[in-house]
Amino acid sequence: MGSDVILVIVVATALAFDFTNGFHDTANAVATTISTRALPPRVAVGIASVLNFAGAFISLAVAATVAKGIVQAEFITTTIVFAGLIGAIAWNLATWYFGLPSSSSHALIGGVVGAAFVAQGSKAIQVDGLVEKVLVPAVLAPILALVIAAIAIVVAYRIVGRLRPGPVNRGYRLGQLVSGSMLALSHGTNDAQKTMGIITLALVANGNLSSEHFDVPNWVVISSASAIALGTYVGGWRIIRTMGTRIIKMDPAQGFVAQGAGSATILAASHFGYPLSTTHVITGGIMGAGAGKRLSAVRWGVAGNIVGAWVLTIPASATVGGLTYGLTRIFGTGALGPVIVSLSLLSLLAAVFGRRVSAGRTLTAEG
Amino acid sequence: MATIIDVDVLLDVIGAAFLAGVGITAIFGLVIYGGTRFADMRRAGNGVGAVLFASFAALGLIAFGASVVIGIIVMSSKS
Repeated sequence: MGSDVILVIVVATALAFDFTNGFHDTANAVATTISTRALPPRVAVGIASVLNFAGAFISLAVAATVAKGIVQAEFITTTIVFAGLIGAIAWNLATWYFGLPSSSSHALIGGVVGAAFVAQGSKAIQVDGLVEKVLVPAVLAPILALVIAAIAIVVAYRIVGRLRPGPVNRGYRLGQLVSGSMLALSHGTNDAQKTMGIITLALVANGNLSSEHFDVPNWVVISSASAIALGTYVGGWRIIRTMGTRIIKMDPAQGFVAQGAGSATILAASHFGYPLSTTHVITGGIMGAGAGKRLSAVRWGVAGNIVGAWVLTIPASATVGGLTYGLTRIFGTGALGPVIVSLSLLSLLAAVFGRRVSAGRTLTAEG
Repeated sequence: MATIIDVDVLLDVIGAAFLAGVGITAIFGLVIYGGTRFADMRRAGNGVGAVLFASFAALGLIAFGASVVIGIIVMSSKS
């Protein structure tokens, strides 16, 4: 009975994380599209939402474990996963509040690493895996995207620089519909998968699925796809504003380069089994598209704040994950800890949300 | 550190990302160039030039479409 309660809480928390992942990362696919007026905001997030939903069905090669190769799989329990999810959700909400794009995947890994560390000590962490799969790509992705986008925008201006601006801008806006769609589809195939993996792992750990032969249940696929799509549709407008207007003031060619070169970079890396963070690549791409035109076109102060958030992602989410795990253990190893932590967090969110609503604003107001 | 990081894969990723990122931008730039010059030529009554630039834009568009298809294949073949 107790393990079933934890399972239900983990599934609900995983779907909540999936939702925050969707609205936190909406900006990756739509910020430049909205900024260059290629599409109206609501249409852009609507299309991104549908493509995120569709993307979740394209590939069902679910990772068997959360943070595979980073945390020793045998140490992962449903309570560690729960605490890791809370760490990731907390970081997603904090960075959304400050309008800072950051990687939801790194937040999830950080949360699970922190919880596993508190539960089992340093023997639970595979430092080599953490360096190879998280830290190196985290450094590589934005620098690579920045340099590629800077070169790409120079190439683009060389090709179309002497043409009439009207048709050129219209052309790049049309191109952005394709590049933004590819990003949204790619996001669905990557990020909804993580939630499916977490829920499947919890079902295996709870004995609902055999660890030898299992298929991802349809309800897991549909609920994960729906949660990320709904989150995408709600839209993290603060982050959209940061990526769309606060890093650089972009023209349609720059918008296309940031998205097009960004999605090509992500897919080229995927082809070699080297997943790069969509957020890091697109943000780096936006900076590169600005810097390629003129170095001073980039607001480096805003860029510095974003990089600061990236540096803090894993330590901060790990700290919250670890604290959450410690808090649940005060109430023993059963379901009581996760139940109390969940109810406390829901009450906190309801209080914050209620105060914002009574003040006449919504949490993700468009304006 | 060298044993942790697979330098060969890293170099492959960097090379492929450069090729894909800059390549897709150049291809789409050529589509816009061909399309805009086609409109200019047609307006100027230069039929031969218009056909040439239209073909140029069409070829670019086919290459751009092909790269989108390749991207979807990469997404669907993830393991």
